Amino acid sequence: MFEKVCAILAEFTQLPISEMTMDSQLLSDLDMNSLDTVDAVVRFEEEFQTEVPDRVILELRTIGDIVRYLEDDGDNVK
Amino acid sequence: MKNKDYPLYEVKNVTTLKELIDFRAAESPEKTAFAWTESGEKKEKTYGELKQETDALGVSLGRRGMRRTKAAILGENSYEWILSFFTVVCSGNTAVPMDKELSLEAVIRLLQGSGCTHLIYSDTYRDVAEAVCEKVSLCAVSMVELEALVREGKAVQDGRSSGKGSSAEGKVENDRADCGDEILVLPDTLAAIIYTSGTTGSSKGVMLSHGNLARDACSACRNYQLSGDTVLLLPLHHSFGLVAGVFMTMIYGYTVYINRSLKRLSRDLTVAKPQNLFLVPLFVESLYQQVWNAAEQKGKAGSLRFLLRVSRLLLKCGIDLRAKLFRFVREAFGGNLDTIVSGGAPLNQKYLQGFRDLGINLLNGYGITECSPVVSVNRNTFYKDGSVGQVLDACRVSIHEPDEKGVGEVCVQGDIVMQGYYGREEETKEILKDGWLHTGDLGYVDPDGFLFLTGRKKNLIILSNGENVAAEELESLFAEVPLVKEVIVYEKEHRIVAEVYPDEEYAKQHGVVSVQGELDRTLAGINRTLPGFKRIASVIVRSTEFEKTTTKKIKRDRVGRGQESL
Repeated sequence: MFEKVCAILAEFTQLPISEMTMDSQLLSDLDMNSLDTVDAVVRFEEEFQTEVPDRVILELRTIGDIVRYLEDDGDNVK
Repeated sequence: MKNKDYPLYEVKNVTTLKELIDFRAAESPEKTAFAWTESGEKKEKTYGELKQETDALGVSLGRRGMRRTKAAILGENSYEWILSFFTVVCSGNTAVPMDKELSLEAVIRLLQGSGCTHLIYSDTYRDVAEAVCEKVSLCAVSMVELEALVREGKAVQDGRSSGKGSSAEGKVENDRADCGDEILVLPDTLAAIIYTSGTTGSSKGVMLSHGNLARDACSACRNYQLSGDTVLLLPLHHSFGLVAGVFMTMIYGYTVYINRSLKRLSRDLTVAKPQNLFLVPLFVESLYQQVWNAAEQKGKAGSLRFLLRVSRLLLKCGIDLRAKLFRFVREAFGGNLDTIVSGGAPLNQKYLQGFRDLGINLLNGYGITECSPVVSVNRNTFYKDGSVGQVLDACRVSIHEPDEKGVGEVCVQGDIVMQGYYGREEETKEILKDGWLHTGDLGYVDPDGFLFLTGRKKNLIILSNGENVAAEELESLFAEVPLVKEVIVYEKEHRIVAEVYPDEEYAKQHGVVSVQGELDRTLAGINRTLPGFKRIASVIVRSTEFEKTTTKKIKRDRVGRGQESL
């Protein structure tokens, strides 16, 4: 899951996956603004066939937050 | 179209928000006022339905004690949010829009502080509403119930008009005289208390009357003419979203397409095909970036650059082919977009030309919540780059204590100025002096009535030699320095210093050995361009980003308090 998430984030940030960790901050480390995050979430939803509510998006601060949400939301992830 | 002065647009003058709804329902009852997509299905409400539902809901909420009181509204953008707002204000109550990003504690604090007796909430925030109700005594109404409440209100109205009714309904009829459309709503009736995020101190509730909001929206429409439908992207709890995104579109009788989630942004633009958008700079930058990202992905970036060069040449010869040449670019915005109005924060000037090249007119405006909020906006065919537009006819702007260049504090007087901060008399007196609202922004007005902003008085650096320097002016000099991610300039021990949060990623990628050394060299270059009194003494490098407000503004009052250096 971590690798898949990083691969999608790399599309938005142009950053090498090797430099991403679970603790990487979307805002400060990946330089993503709130709209970039929304766009990335749309990709996660397509990739993992799930739905991430808007309220959850506001709480996603690190790559770890995304991975944990998608894993915990396993019922929805195919 | 020549960029020159011309008469203001003529629009219907409404003096209250209730009058706005009544006017639209009478003038164009069948016209779609609001549209949105829900569960894949497009839904619509006409101006006539909006009026009927507002009145009916006013009746049923009146039966639940909502009379001459304050009701908070908490939820994402939706028709139900807008219906709730109009119902509250048109029945003589005061709406208190809540920022949905607030913590539970902050929501409770605002509800208690503003004296709300009712809370109308969307299902998304049911947990917040339930937690609030455990601590605060109020009547909570879910937006899920609104449809049933509208039916209930209509039934009461029908019973009343047919003269029927049980004894219970008879009581309701008596109650009815105290709510709904028989309530006298006057221009000075308090319509809303809108909380500002406040970069200094705690948030303050700005009291705006019906007259404030209606006058501001009408006056802004006289400066700027909408050419068609809009998509609402800005949050409704902000005055800009409410007044520009909703009221202004309603004054012109167009349709507001409600974007219920930013995840649906692209799809909504394609479905709604808006002619106009009201945005904050973050969106402007993002949309512009999307144009180029899409071009890169499709391998069309080269041809786009070529077409732009050709188009600019043709324009110089008076030939405008932008609509044809860039149709493929504009399709991403629905295909009909002709104007974007940006406000709420300073806009990087490069986007003005960037969008104009594509045939989309990007106009900058200025406002603050305390002024309902629009103070000035560039006009459709009379605009000046670098300016935030011509001052509205609903207010007067005076430049307080101007310097030799005419730059001073922007002060505003007129019908759009707030009634005051709720429960904050001292703070109100500090900002409202002799009828003039002191915005804290610095600027000047040119002979054509265009307002130019140069900085913020609150961040004014007053040096021991008496010279004043706007921090933003110096900060903007770092904007193009890739090693600088965030910067705040302030006065420390009578010297100007720049505190920098560097872009560590950039430093790594470019093999910067000493961030401090590199920034010192950058500073030397910047100082060479500045007059002596504006020169920056030193750069302080910090290891963490600056603390921000919920609207992502740096909390300046927290800067310079012993942050450790790298």
